[in-house]
Amino acid sequence: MLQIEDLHVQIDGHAILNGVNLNVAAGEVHAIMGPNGSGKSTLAQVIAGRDDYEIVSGSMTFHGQDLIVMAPEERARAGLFLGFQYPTEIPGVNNTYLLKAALNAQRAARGESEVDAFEFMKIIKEQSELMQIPKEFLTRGVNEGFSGGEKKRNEILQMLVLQPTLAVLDETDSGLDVDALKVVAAGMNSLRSPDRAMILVTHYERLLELVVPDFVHVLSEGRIAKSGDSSLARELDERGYNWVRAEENRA
Amino acid sequence: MTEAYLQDQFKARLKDLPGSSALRAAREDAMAAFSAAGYPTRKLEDWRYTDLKPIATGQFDPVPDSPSQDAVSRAQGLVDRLELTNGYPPLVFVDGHPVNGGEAPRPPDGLEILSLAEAWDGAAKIAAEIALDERPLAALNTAFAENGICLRVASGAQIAEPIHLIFVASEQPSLAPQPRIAIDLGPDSTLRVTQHFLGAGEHSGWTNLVTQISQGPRSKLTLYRLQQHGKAHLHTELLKAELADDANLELGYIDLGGKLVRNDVQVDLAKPGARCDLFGVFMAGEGQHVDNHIRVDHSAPRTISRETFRGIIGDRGRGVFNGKVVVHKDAQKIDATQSSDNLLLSDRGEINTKPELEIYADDVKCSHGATVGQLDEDQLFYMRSRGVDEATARGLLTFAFANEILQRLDMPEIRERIARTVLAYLPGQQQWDELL
Repeated sequence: MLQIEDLHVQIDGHAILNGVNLNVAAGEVHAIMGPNGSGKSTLAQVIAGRDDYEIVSGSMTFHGQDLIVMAPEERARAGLFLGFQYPTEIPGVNNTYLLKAALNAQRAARGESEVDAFEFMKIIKEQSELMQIPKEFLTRGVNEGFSGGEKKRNEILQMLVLQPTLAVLDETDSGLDVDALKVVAAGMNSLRSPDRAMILVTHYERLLELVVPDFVHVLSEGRIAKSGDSSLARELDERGYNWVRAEENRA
Repeated sequence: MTEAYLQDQFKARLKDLPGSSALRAAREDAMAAFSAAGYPTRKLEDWRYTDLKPIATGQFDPVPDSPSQDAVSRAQGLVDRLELTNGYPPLVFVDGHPVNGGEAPRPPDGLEILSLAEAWDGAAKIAAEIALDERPLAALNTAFAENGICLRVASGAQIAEPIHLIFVASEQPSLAPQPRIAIDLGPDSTLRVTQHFLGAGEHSGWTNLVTQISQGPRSKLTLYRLQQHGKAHLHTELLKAELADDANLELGYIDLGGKLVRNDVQVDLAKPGARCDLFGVFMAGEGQHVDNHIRVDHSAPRTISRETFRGIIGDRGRGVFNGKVVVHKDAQKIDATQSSDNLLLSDRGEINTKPELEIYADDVKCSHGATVGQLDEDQLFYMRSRGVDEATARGLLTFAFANEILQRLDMPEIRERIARTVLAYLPGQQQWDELL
């Protein structure tokens, strides 16, 4: 589904990703862990199409299409979703409106008609109940006045409404208490299916106990230094990241 | 319109203008004041960014003839499209002339609606209240004003129905109506008024408006001035208000049309506890120039003023905001805030914004802020990452910027129409009905 090969990325002449290779197939959940500043968020933003970054070399394809030449909205319409680490507040544009505009833009790209108003309200009601987002939040400005935890739950709500084939979730778990983490994890798990995939960028192993990944990768100094199964996450939780770096330097 | 031409016009037309001998004298003083001052030029600090050349060099008739029946019915068509179902039947002026045919329905109890001619002696008194030497355009209005309206609210009267004043420029080119509005609120009364300016054509014309407001103690006035002139129209105005104890004035200025627009607003919070809330949204697109010049005098203790203006400046548009707050000596416990936020949609747009404070008292709370910016890149990326295309995302954010202020228009049918007009300037609006 997603293939990244030898991806080099810089910002203001400063190298951040130094040859990332990553293959994500349908049905898989990948976790990307790593110390601060290792390039995790950059990778997530570059996949979604943020243009502050300069792609120096390498390739990224999604369902066989060259991602690098696609605008962010084209990527979204192709089935990609980014859950933001710091969701932006947009006063004056209400949540429901954005969701509907986004859903209809994606449906139009697939040649489908606009979502039926009744059907749309049903989806919103169902998914916002799952995410425990009160009804009155939906008519407020996007993320306006939301707490950190509410913003993260709102990201997952958007994901559930849009039903992407690949969700890249950037530190959705950070800043959440245990109860909120469970709600968010339930949302993520509800999207898991044989034809969808997910990339979870995280610092902490506790999310990965609730959403068990098929693969865990350690990003260090802009490249994937180690990959393994979910047991790697537990090992990182116990031993930290330094041993990975040491191991890589020896290799 | 050169000064010499105006002098000739004044001599020729004075005898036909309505008014008592006292008013005639006031007109002559006003014309003399204009002749002495001339048009304000850009050498004056208050006119640095606004050039009146299109008026000074244009050819306009300052005392337009009555409109043709045809023009009146076309104007009526425009008015009908406003769908002002709420309120007293709209009072309509075409090229400055009142055109409400037949007998007007009785005004609500406690409200007097007088033509300028009927209210003339009062108008002469009011005319004297404007410092004509400092306001040459208002002096011209005093000299030439032929029509207008005076709204008087009796002490204690609460007028529930809004009064809509609608000024339509017909398709007759080169007219310069000089409408005069006087609003007088007795103690403890309330009134809501809208002033709409609509244009039927794309030709040039000039509207030079003066609105004078006098508010008794504890009275409350809401006035929305909604300007949607045609693209070539010139609009200048002075709104002057004086507020007594604990009086409350809410002013909304929406400027969407016109080629050259200069709004002078002068509010005197003359007595303790008076409060004024001023908000505005303007859009200056291709070739449009919109200048809001606001002066608020805190002449008495415990007076409050709030100014919130937002401008959207498109390609080759120009905006000006000048907000001056003067806190007079011994006017303590003052609370004044001012903000001017502007969105530049193109690097060829221009905005000059200048909040000013002059404070001669020591126990005051004053703040001001001005911002000029482009659309927020994080917000744009966020929406695009959800599948919304860039042009729509830009339009949506631009609309949201204006809509935060438009929400304050406390008349739903008017708010919706104005919001639709703002949307019509932006791409992708056809899918945005649900935003309103």
